[in-house]
Amino acid sequence: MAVGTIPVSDPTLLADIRRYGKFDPTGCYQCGSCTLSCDLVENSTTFPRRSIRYALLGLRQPLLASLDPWVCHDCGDCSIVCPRQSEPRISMITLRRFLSAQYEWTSIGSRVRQSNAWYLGSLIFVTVFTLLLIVGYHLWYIALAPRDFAGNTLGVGLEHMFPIMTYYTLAVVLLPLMLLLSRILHIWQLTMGGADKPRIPWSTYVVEAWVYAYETVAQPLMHKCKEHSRWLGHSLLAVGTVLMLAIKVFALRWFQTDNIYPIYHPQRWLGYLGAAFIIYGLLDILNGRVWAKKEIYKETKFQDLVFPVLLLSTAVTGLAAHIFRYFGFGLTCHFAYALHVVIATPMLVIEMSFGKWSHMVYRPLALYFLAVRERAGQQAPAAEVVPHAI
Amino acid sequence: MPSEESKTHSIGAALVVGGGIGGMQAALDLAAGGIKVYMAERGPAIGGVMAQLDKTFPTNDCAMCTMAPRLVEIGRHKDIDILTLCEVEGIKGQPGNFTVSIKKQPRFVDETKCTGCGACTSECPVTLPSEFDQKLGPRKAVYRPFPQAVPNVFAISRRGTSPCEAGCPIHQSAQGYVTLIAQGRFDEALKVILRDNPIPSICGRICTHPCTSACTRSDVDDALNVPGLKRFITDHFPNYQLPQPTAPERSERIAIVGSGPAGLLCAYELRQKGYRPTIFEALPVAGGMLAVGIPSFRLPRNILNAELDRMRAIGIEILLDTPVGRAITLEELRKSYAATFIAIGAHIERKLGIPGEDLPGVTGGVEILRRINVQGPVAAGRHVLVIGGGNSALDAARTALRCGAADVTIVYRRTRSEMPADPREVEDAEREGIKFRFLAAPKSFRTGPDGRVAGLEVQRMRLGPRDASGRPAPVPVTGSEHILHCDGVIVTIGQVPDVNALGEKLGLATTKWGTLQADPLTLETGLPGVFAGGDCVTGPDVVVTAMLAGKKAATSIDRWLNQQDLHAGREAEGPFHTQYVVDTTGVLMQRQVLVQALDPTTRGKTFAEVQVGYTPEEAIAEAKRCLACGICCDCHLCQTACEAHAIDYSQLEQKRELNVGAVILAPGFEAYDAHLKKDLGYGRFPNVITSLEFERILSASGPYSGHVQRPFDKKEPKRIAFLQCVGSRDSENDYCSSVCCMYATKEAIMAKEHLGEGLQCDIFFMDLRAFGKGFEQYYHRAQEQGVRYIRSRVPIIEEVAKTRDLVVTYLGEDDRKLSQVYDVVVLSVGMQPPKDVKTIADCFGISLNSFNFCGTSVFQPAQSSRPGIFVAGPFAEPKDSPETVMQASASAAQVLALLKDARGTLIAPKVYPPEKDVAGEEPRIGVFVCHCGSNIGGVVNIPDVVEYAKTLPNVVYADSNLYTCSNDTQDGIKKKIEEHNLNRVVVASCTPRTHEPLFRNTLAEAGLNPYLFEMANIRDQCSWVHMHEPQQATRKSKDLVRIAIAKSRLLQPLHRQMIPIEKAALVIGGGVSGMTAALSLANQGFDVYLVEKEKEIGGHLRQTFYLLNGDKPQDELARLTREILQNDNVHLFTDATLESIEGTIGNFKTRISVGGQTTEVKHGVAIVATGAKEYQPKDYLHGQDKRVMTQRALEARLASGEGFSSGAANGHSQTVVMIQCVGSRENDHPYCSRVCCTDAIKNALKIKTLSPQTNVYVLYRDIRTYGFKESYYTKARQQGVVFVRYEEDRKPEVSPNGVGLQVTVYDQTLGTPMMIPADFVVLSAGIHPNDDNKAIAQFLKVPLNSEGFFLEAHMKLRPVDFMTDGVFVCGLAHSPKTIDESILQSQAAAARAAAVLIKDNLELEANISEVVDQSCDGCAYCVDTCPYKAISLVEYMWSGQIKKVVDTNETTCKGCGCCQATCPKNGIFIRGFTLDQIRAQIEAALEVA
Repeated sequence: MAVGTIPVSDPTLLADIRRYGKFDPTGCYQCGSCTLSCDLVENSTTFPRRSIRYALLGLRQPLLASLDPWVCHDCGDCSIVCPRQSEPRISMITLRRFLSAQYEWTSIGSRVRQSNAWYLGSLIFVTVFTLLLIVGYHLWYIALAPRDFAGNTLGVGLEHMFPIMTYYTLAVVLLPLMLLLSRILHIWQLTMGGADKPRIPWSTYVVEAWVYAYETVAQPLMHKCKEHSRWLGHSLLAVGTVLMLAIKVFALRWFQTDNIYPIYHPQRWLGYLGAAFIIYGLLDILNGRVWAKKEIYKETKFQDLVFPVLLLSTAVTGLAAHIFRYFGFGLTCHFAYALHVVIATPMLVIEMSFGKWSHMVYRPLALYFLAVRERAGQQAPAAEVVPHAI
Repeated sequence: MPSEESKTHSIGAALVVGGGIGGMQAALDLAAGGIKVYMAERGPAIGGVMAQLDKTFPTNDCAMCTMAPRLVEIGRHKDIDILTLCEVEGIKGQPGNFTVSIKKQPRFVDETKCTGCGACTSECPVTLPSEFDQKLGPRKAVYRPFPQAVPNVFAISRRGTSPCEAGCPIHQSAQGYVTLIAQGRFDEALKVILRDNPIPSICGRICTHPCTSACTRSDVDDALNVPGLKRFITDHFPNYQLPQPTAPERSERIAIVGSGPAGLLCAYELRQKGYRPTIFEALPVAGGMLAVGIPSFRLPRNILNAELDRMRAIGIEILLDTPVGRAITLEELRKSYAATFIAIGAHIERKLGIPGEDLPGVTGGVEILRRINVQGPVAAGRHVLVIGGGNSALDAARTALRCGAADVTIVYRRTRSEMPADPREVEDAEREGIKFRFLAAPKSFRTGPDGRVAGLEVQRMRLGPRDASGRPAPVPVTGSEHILHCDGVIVTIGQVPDVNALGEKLGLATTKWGTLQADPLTLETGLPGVFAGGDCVTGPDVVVTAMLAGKKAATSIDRWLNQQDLHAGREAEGPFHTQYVVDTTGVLMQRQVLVQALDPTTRGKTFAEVQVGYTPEEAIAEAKRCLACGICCDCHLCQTACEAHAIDYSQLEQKRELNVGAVILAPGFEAYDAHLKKDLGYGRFPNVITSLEFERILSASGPYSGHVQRPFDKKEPKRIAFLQCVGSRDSENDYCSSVCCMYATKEAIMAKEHLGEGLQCDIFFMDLRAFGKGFEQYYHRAQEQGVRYIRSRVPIIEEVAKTRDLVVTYLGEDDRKLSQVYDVVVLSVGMQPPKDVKTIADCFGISLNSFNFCGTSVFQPAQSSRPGIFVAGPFAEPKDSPETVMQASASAAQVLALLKDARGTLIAPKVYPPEKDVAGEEPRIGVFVCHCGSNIGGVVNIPDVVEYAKTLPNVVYADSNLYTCSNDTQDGIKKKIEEHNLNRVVVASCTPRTHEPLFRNTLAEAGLNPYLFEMANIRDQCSWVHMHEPQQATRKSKDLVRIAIAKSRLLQPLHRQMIPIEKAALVIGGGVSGMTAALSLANQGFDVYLVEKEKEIGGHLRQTFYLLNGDKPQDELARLTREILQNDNVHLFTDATLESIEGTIGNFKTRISVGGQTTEVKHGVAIVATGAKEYQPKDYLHGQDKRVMTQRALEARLASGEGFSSGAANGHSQTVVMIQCVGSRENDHPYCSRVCCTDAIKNALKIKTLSPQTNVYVLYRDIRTYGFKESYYTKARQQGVVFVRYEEDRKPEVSPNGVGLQVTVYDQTLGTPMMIPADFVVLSAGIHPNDDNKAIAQFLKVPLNSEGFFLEAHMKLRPVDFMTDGVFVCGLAHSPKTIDESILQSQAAAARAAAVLIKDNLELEANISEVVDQSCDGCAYCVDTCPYKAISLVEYMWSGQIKKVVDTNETTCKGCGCCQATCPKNGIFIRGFTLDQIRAQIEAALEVA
């Protein structure tokens, strides 16, 4: 292979990575204990040693092209076993933050992830904006005593108060989703589609597509970790979040209404189920993070706490609005719902687009790509990637 | 002591702490330098860890064979005192004069008496895991760690009295006989029992056995059934006899009043002391309460009578029906008997004091038992009540049942748990049908119509607060009175002695309880010569308390009659407590083996003995439950076996103070405790073992006799994995243990040698640290032999449940996880400081470094932080044997310099009487044959051999000795030489290797030439190898004795020649090594000629500008140079060349040329310190591009301030790439240069200090930062130095790249190439030997190794010596090494050289070759054969012709005999091994005995 294709060591890479969090595996003497301790390491995916080594050696391109950091489910066995106490787990977290920022084409993500000021600022900005919209809407409502299209005066209640919110909510959810989708292409280019990588037929992508969904909701890899006590909470949280997102996007009418539904109606049991999953999952995580007894919950950053707190507040306010309505406290319900919207909006816009929530998209995507790679390798064993040679 | 005085007077003695190879070397060097040495070793023998090793790397020599001669040398060195089992407690004073306090643990074997014969150990019943065998094999409680142990004496592992023995009032060694029973050694168990107890069959049945209450086993499950076991032994030997008294008969007669246990014991003990006691018994039966108070179903009469008969059989008189006070008065006794012991017991019943107590049908328990025991069964009634809660109540109740009662009820005022009776007896009684009425107090008896008792009114009680006895007091419940119907009542609430029966007003004081008053310790009463003990003094008590009283009385009477102090030292007679806690964790539950008993439903009808007793199998099973609390079981079998009477159980901890001038600390290391790495399974998985355990498995003297097996199932392993860095190089221990890579390699090679090529040995490692001399080649040899090296640290081991095989998961090529199953996993455990290192540091007042080792500095590498205290070995830093030995010698050199004024002051040269002239005398041979205890005598018929020797010609005296080597025998031999005018001595005993010098010394002391001595090894060659053929062994012994005698007839006196020594040294090379060696010798007062070829001294140190630890080498260089120049003893020649060196040890002549002028100097020793050179690389653009430089050039550049600034011209931070192993570990130079990794890291860290922004890459093959240097490797990584590993066959490439350089390297860990744009490339160039080494080697007749470095005498233990005496090597001339290592080796060389120079004369060996000029025709065959190059051919004119003969250099000859064997003309022979002598031996061998 020509010298030109040999990766060049870039000593600035380490500094770039360290902007996203702690990355101190400098005691590392490459013994490999971390990789050996990991239950998720298989033949084609090996980490943390390899991933960390890319970073230490300044090999930027191989690092960006690697999907391995997303296989890591953060259990911390490697940190326990590391004879140098280099905490590879934390390095892997930082690497994922770094990679998430690299996948983006805006610079907002990297700023939000690097700086809590940016993070809080953006959250506050969206919150204020939403609040202003709601206050403005109410002012407009009081001033103009709006009528419906048939000319009837509108009354108090979710159905009357927030009809326009339907479209607004759709925007709040769909906008970040669109942003995320746009990055998928970038990730594909970095990891699967570069000129130096073997071509994989589209059919393989189609065949393996189920992996994406499966990994999103069931998270089988997390269950493979030695520390799988958190699997239930985390996957219930994922199921609950997907469920709530889906029904809020596609059936917002069920919720933004003053109708009292019977208990067998999906609005009731699907909603309860989703809320229960989310609240259980979040309490589980928050409980772990606050006490930080287990390796997996060590080194909790500010953003790691704000996100679950926001999500929990969203769920609780939504549930409160629901309860107030069913108990007939109309005005209270009204304000609770307003609060719900004020919390949910910044969370959706910022977290989903630029923050921690994006891992919900990236991780299954990486696992999906790896599955595709594996299948492609199986189908065409001859096209094995020959390691670089001088 | 006033400080003025102590400043001027230094003490000519030193203390060496630790008896490993470091301590041994230091001791030998000090003693050779005229310093008296105390060697304090905490174990029972010296030898350290090296004694445990199988082979040594890289030569595969046997470790024990290498060190054993040294052990022997120390063991018999007159100026070295070995203090075993000793620890230093404190030290006071200052350099030159310290006072050290030492604590010595008891050995329990008298070191001056023990001859090491081993008779004790074969008798010892206690087996323990052997520490020497890493607990893989057994040893006995009396033991010697290994056969070659020095001192060759045994020791006993004895924790102190076991709880059972301590708990027993008469201190019977329960653990002793229990241990023997467990091994089926019943007759010996009986002997142990009878040692303290002449009535064991009684005690085994009725003793309340406080031993069991104390038993540690009750913490686990049940206490041992000690009495059951004792009884088993007496049942097993029903006809045993008491030992006949051996003491001389005494005329004094002793009267003993009462034949109960107290009286019997007193009589027995007195009888054993030679007295004739007479027992006066008031009753018609003997035995006291044993006979009348205990029912026969518990103690059958035949058992009791048999014991009494045994007493009578040894001469104890028992007079029945002779009540003192009636039949004979006490006054009469006192007149006719020398002393009297009153032990009348307590036979009067106590009364309840309630109405109706005198009614017919109400009897006392003792009374009814007495009646039954004397007259036979007497009915107590149909419905019987027994009042009381003690053992007597139970006895009475059970007796009443057997006398025909329909029902028996025990009435007791408290509850069951407060009953004083033995709970087992209560259970037994309950099984037989006895009923209990608790919480009922008798109020009055009721009369029946027939006037007999018909009922008992009782009042209900409840338990109140605790009373004085510690039990809850019964409190009456008012109004709860009721009546129990009965027709017989037995009252058993205690007895008092019938003192008045002895007669009124005897002068004996009594207490308010009606008992006699006596001194509790001595049992003296108010009347002189009258003693009292047992129940009559204490009130009713158990049998064993009475026995103790009997024993005490016997001791008192004996002392009284001998007018000795009655009190002195008797505290231990009473019950005492043990001081220790026995750890019972991990002991498996195993309940007590129950004793068979008669069927409870039927046994209540008869007086047959209830308990049947153990069968032998049951007894063994029960005895095996013993936890051996005292370790030594106190059976005293070893004491009996030891014919030298060396066993001494009474030894106590001793303290002593030593006055020494200096201290050398060499306490060694502790192997890392592998249990701490839980994931590796050590301790959980039986086949995971440590390297030290594997070392023992490999050893022929190890637990499996050298058969390589795995511990679990003794299966031969087929696959062995070695895991490196266990307890090293991690965040807890951030240092490298330096030796593990090589010992694992050695163990793998040896394992393959044992089990063949098929054995798979895989070594899992991170960096293979083969940095020592010859190590890299050894590593390659291992690879060639199929040892696989896998670069992966293994964090977790799993076990296959069924097979107990082990699964190792590791990372293979391309980071692939691979698994392999192994039979054995060996953990290469690292070195740790001794466990009590903090105590050691506190005790000596020295400071420790951050790793808790005794850190030293680069330029004072043998010096602790406290002046006058020096260190050696792994205590300072993990290191291998040669470095340990060097540091020990270096320490010795420092001590020799410190104490140079006191040298020889504490060493007295030995003075021998003038030698007798035996020339022309007819041989008069004395033969001494050794029994060696039973070691030889147990197999060989010694008297037969002695008689045979007497028949041989010229033998005028022959006899045998129990131990020929003992001190008194030496005097005996001297006497016999005198008496019989002997002029030849033959000893037939053990090996001349250890004992010949001793006997030769004895001859010299007797005024005989020591070479008129011959030895026959009838131990190793007869009693050992023919252990099972005594007759043949005896015959062979006779043969060997005859052969020795035959040679001895021809022995001639030989004399050692003395050569004066030139007291000066030549040091070749003026680098740091040469300067240090020269200064060290000069400071000891010797002249030194220091020769340097360059204009300036300093060598490589001149180009060393900074060190890792921050020391300033240039300052040190300046200091050294100044000291050299100022020292009058140092004669410096710079810009000089050596023209010639001639001569041998003691007398060298060297011509030194300086600027064309030649000086000739004379010196006794030479030290080679010629150094080495830096390789000048030819590749990697070195020499072509200025940006490519060596580490040394970089160092100069950094030192000059021309660093690497972060803000370089082109704006980006600069990059330095270092390439390791340039000119090392390659085909031309296959060895590792040892220092380059550290040097690179030193420079990398310097760069990072100067400009943190500069990027540093180190391209390496293995990072070899051994010892504490590892922490700098860590520091470098932490500071961002990037380490990239490459393989030898994929070397990095350096090429110019426009403005800069670029380095392409294949990263082995990632399996990817990468390109590093570099501003500078630094090459770690290797150390190559100097070109002029060859010339110097030829001058000095010393060898070079294949690489061109000087080759020392022995790689492990003689690292500064050459095979040629008087020449030493140090520094880089020996092999690549760091500055501190060079300094150590230089000081070591100085110590070794000083040992030669301190003597005025060189004493040569007498058994060396001698040329017979007339027979030698100068053929010179012998010249080439001589391995020591001691023979040369000389030509001279003789009667006008050229005569050629050979000439032996007596200083170089070692007397090996090669010349004699090659000479065709009898022209050369070895003194003491002449052809005539050998012929006589052969002829004698061919004769028939």
